[in-house]
Amino acid sequence: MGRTITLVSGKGGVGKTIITANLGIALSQAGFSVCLVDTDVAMANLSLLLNMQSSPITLHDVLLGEAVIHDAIYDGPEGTKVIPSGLSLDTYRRVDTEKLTQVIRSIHNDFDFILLDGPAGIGKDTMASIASADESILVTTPVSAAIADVLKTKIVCQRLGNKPFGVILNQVRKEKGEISDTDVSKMMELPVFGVYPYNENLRKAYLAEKVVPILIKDPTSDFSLAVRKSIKKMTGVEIKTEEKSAGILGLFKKSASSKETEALETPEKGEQTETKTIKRGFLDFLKKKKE
Amino acid sequence: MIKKFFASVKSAALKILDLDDTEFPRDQFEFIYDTSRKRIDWTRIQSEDIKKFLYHLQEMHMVDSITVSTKAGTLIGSSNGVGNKEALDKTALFNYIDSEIPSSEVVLIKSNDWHILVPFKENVYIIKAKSDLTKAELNAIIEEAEKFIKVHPSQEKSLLST
Repeated sequence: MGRTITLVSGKGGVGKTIITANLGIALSQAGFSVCLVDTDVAMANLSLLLNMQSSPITLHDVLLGEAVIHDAIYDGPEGTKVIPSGLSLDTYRRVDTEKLTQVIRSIHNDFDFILLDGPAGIGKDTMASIASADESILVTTPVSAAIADVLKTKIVCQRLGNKPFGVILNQVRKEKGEISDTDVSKMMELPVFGVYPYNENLRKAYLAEKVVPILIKDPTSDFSLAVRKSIKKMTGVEIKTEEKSAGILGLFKKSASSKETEALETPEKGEQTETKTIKRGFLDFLKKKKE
Repeated sequence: MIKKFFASVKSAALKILDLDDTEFPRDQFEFIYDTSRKRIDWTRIQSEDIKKFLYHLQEMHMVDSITVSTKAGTLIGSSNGVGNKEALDKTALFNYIDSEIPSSEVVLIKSNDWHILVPFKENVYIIKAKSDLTKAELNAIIEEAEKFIKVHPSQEKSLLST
């Protein structure tokens, strides 16, 4: 039986969609069967991030009763499966989100992980997304406004019988004014299993003709490393980081990203493989230069 | 490439020169922290008495009252303890609407507050709330209450007999 997890935050713009896509890709790379579902039926963005905006059958059609769920499942990046939501306001007005639970339950056993990209706020659509999943990941940024909102979301999850099992702290810049992961964990009474650094390339992800998720575009970036680390904490499975051919700038970048990742998360026992791989890459590069 | 290089130099310079002019929002943090302490005591919901149980369920879901009745109008339990008349009246109302509009899943009445009537198997749930609830919230309330009624059937029978 698979795990159905919704990613919710309360506040908008904290990075739920980007994290859903990249977590899904990382899980798939780790050998799990993954289905990503855009349950933000009003403001669907996942399809834009995965270049699936022109999908002929979407979750809207399924919720309208005009298609079956299996017709709305598409092949996504790195072996993932994706159920995009429609972008039309007209169909959204007719969609019945109350059917979402039933629809998600019908594919519950088909995948190891079903990740639901939840809407912002705690309205009807968010509640439908939370009620459709057994567990939830709370996404927040290290600012008080986002944390106040995510606390309310946690209570809503518990009221609906959904079990929040961890927090992802996104867009961390390590500035003095930010609330630390330890404080967030204490406030939320949940473990923070992902501290994702702010990455300018993420903002730029949408600013391209063909959008490519950062885990594919830049697998050795500090963000990608942090995503993979959280996968290990979620599942116990480790994903090895691919080596990139390094130029002088690549060298700077790798060295900076490994240092940043080390600084952001104190590595636990048996968790150093990724950082080590990069350091080895750096040494290999120097060796080759000498030769 | 050059842009990236200068961005890295700038970020390093900012760190070295300590130009981070942000400040930890202590007041806000403490307020949020205090708010997070005021949470629901989930253990209280495990009461043996249906009235207390429904009262805790009412608090947990932030509604004004929860009454459970059979479709025949017999009270099973109420969070406010005075649900006999309500059970009889609202069940009659639900049955009437259901006879006019078959397979009614929810009946919503706005009269100052919201009166929400939801059938489930042989029971009718009568929930009063300040705003209408989503189906997900209604399902969560009903699921919890049904679990309780299933585990405490004797209570249901004794109430039915009175």
